[in-house]
Amino acid sequence: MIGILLLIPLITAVLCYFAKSRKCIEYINLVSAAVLAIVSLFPISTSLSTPIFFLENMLFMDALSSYIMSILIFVSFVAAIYSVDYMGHEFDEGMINIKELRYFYALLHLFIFTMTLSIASNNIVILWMAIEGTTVVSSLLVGFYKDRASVEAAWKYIILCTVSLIFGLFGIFIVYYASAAVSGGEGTLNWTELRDIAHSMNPKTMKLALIFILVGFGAKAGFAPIHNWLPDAHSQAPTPISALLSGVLIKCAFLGIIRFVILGNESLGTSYCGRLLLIFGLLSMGIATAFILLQNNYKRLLAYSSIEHIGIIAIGMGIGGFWGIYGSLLHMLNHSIVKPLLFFTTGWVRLKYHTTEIDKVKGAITVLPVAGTVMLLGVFALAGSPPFNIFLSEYTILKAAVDKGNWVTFSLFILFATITFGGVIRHFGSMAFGKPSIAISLSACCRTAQAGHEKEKWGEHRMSLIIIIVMAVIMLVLGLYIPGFLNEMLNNSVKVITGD
Amino acid sequence: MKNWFDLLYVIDFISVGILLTAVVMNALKRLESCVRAYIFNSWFLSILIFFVAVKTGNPHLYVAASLTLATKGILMPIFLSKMVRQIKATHFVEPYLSNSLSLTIAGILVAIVYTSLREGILVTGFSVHILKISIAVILIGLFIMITRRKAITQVLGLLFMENGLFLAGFSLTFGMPIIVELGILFDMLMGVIILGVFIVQIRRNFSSVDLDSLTTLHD
Repeated sequence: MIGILLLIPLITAVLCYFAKSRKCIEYINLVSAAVLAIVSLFPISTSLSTPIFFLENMLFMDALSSYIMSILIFVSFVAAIYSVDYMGHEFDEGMINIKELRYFYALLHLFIFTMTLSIASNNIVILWMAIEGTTVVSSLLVGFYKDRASVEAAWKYIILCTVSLIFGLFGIFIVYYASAAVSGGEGTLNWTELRDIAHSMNPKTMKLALIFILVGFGAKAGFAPIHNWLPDAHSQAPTPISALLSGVLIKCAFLGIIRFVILGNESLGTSYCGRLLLIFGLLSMGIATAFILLQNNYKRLLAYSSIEHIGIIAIGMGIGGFWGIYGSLLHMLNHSIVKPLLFFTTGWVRLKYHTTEIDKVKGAITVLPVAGTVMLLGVFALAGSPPFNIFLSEYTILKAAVDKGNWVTFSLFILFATITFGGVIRHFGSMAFGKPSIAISLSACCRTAQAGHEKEKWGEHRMSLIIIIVMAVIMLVLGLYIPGFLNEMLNNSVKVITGD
Repeated sequence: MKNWFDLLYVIDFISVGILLTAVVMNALKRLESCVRAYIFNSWFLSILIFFVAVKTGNPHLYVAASLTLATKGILMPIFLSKMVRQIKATHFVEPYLSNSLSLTIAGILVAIVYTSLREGILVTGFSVHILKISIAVILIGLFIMITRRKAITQVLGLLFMENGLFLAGFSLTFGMPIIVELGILFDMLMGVIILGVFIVQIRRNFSSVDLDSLTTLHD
């Protein structure tokens, strides 16, 4: 079952690369996204209760990886649908040609393949190889437009992440050495076997290994102070890719960190990793807050907000206990719904206004009624206001902090979250309200003057508007009520992390 | 044959050769000489793995040695020379620090690694020095990446780091399952090819491969 899940994006990537016409590529893309979503239901539902293995134990899925896999499948499904409209619009305007379109879709599905491989791997070196693979593939996507800013962003991204992952691999080698020292001979590279012998691994060796792994994989997840690639890469990439990068890739890297933190907790007790994660999380939140206030580019603002939210996820995991981990995992899902939603709506803003500067965008609600309103709702959700989903998961994490008596974390969290609330809403509010500039309203006017053009526009981009509305509804529902299957998935994942 | 190895400390000599080619990178002024230092480094690495294979008699280490030679010793230098020729770089490396200062700092890095790893992880096996040498090569690679101005020398620093990492992995684990080594080599090869693609893009967009010109994105 895992094999089919991996083969589908791979085959789609090859097919998209050799397809001839634009319609053909888009149909392959949509069909494959739908098939992947349907097929993935089987391994996800079976691995909730018992883990499933594949390829001589090198790949596996348990409750935790099925949870993250469902996040990946959801975001890649909506991103595939959205890119049909978005890249189609860019193709119609002549900004990209057919060869680049083919290239984009092939790389998109290759990117989805590497992320699926990183979630489904049992062998810790295959996990590393898949994450390095995501770096290599997504850097091609970040530098997609091949202008000065994109090339610089892609160069920074690939150099910083590859160097950090080299340190991460060194940490993995040390973990293997520790496992070899336990059995006195051959060590093991499989995570399930490592977890069984983790309590007898040498604590000092594990401490050293964990520092390398936290720094290495943490750079990929977006922890400050090694976050410098993130604003550039997430803002220069095409919009569907930014959604995938912010929505899934940083969660995949964080999954790698969780796997090693589980090993570290068995060997060292929960306080060492917990303290390190708290430090990185609070630092990320603080630095992101500072930079959000002084932003003038809305895509960079969303990227810094991703850094802040991965900091919140790290804080939740660092606090530990049932509710801390539950809140952190729930926050992964909630952020993966809100952030791609915001990238999608601001993607329409960018296509309409042809600029990414906050100062130059005014009156988005009048020019783009559906997308602008959903953008404003999404921004309230992102900033953490009720009744949306992010409020619920942040509240859970704060409750866990209070239960454990972590008053420093609690107060710093609230301070940073409040400042960010103000900053984000101010910037996006100035974009949503106000009078649109003369040029934009003239072009909207001219469109309505031409007969039927307005209706034609609604029909063309209907698919992406529908998924934006669907995502907004999910965002609202999850803020009020957690459905039974989600609760069961979360409970099983927490059980995996804290050890049965 | 095995006694001959132990008598002449062949393996130690080769590992010191790996370290010296990394240190000498700091002193080289021309881009082609830096690529040549990398070629020597990779060949020493492959020969080291080959000698360990002969000494322990482990068959899959022979495969590992030949794979390393093929990718790092032959494919990568061909790709690097092609890239140097294609971007028509001026032949001089432009460092931020003078050559003698960076040589001194590289030496200090090696000394730091040797003194701080006196206790702690000791490798059971054929030599205790190889882990220290590999960490020193990783650090020297990182140092080269930080203090050089051209994009190609950053790629070379990355390649040295990768060699050091490979040696560290080899010394800590005695050759992992072959698919793992294959995968790591393939990943790094892909990474370096993509980096080469981007160097061409940088040259096209910025009309130079000087990384100081990459200042478009900032806050």
